[in-house]
Amino acid sequence: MTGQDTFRVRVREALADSRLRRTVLEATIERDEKRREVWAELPDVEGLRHLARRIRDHTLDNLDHYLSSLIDSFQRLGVHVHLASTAAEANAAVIEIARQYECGHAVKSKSMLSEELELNAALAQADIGVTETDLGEFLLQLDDDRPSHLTCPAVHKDIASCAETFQRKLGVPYREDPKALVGIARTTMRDIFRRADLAITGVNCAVAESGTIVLVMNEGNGRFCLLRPRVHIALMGIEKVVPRPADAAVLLQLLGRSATAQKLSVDTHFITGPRRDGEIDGPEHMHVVIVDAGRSALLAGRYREVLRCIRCGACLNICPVYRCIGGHAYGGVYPGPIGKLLTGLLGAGADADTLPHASSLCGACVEACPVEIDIPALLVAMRSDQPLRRRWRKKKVGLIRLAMRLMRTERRYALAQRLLRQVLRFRAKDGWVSKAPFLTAGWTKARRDLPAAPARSFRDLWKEGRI
Amino acid sequence: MKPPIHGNRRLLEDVAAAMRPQRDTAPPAHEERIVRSGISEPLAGRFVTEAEEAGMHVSRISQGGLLDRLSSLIQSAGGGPVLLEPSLAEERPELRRLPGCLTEPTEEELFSARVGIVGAEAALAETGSIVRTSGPGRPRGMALVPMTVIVVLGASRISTDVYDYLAGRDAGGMPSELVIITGPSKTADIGMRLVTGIHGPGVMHVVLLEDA
Repeated sequence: MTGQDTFRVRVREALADSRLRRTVLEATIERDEKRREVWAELPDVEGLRHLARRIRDHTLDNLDHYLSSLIDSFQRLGVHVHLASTAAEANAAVIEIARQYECGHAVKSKSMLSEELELNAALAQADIGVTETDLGEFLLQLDDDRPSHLTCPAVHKDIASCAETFQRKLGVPYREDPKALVGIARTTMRDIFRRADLAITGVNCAVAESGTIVLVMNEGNGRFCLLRPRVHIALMGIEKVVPRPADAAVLLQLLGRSATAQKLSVDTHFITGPRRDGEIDGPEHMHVVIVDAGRSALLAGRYREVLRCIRCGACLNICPVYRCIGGHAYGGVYPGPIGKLLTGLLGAGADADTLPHASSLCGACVEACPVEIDIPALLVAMRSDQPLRRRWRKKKVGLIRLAMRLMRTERRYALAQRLLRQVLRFRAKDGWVSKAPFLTAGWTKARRDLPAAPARSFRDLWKEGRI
Repeated sequence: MKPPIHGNRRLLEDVAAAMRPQRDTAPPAHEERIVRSGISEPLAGRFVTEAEEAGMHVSRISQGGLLDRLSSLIQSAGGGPVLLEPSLAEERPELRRLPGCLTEPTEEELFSARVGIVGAEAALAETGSIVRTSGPGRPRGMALVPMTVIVVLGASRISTDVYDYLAGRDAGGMPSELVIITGPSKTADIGMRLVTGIHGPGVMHVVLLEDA
């Protein structure tokens, strides 16, 4: 890892931005509540999650087999397959394909993998235009901003900020009216969809048996990308395979529900090869770029289960840390609980050593994960894989010694407690402490007030027989 | 002729090297109770409820009333030229009597028409979805480009759910495009407010033919 630890700086900035905090908090709470509701409507959500997990595990267990079966299926359909071990190889493949067909402008549907590859920058360098077609991603592209959520990339922007972007970049009057803004986006994008000669998409999953790629979207942009352009390039990580169409159906039942609380997303799109004889629209050439970029190195080790992830974003919505700091503070491509793992494991961002520590290990993310990834356990594993820095070791050992001394007898414990209570009462103003002392200072530094200690402690009340 | 594999074969070697010697090669069994929605009520009724919840407008009529129903839907969408899916026109030649209907529009006509009328291969009761497949006479654009899309659906084509539909399909017979559509296109990217009609259709009607 290079560079200094900038995570803390970004967290402090995020916490100080009350507009951001309100926007992210409201959005994530709403999404999480709705997810719970639609999960509960399933006949056996626990059974389904467990099955989804087993399907993902089974595929990873036999990934060599399923990848070659997928590649066979692609070839049978006339789909060109490109293998890329690194991000650089993947970007080079995309650029080479674009040049081969003399494509000048690409329309792109949302793909986290492409963010990981920094594909847009590579395309720009190669003089190939690209337009993000998901509305959220389009807004971010106008702003030169980055996604802060896996399924809701512009969650950090409120209506006013979207209106500002449109005014500044598209030269339209400022209007805080989502409907009007969406209308402008529709018109603007139509011309681009018609002009573009290349479509770049991600892959939600790829079915080995049939050579089908599945794309899940709500805006109709994925279908539009595959209407006029002559060439389609789909980017997929090696882990995205599923054996049969029925396995895809199991994942789809969970994906829409977990991501956006929909039984199914608006467009569940299955692409099996390029346009065929007698068809008048759809791409004539299809290429799939299969990307490793650090994934195969995880297959054999203790972090393998992160490869189960289907990128639904449910762990972000439920995470108390994400809710407070939003996605950008994480600094990598993948934010939230899963991002704390992927950033380090896939080398997709800085501060990879700090991120695993930015968790209270509360376990909310496990409850929300449709494929049962044990994120806290993996975070602990990542922590233990790090060499303990000397400064920390000294501090930690000292603290544990102190705690041991204080907790050894009941009298000492009671005394320490009384002391802390008095200090907190002394510092309180209107029932709240906004600047806590010594070891407790971290709590209030993070812009959280601490309630003042009550006059009588639990121990006092117990002794007096009032409890 | 199979196209060659491009790029670095190392990827496949790296994956093979990471495989464990002991592994179960049989895919996990899917327990019916878990993967199927178990809908027992009449499929048409459930489909209508769910499709409306997903934001589509459903009218249940008999085949005899189809032309009248379509005419009034076209009227309320503002009239003008109407895209008519060729395969649907072949199946129901009486639809060619709709004023201004185009089965082979130019690109200009495709992008300026307000209404598209299309058929459906199937529908899913559990989610209120329409299933469309591409093929000769079934272009992708007609159900995507116009603001208003009208789907003509025979009630006998409704199946239970996405699992039932996909598990029942022959993997070798997948069309170049299959799309399961559940409601009009929508976005919540601006301030978490739901707005319909972003890139795809903003209004979707399903004309459900009870006797077809």
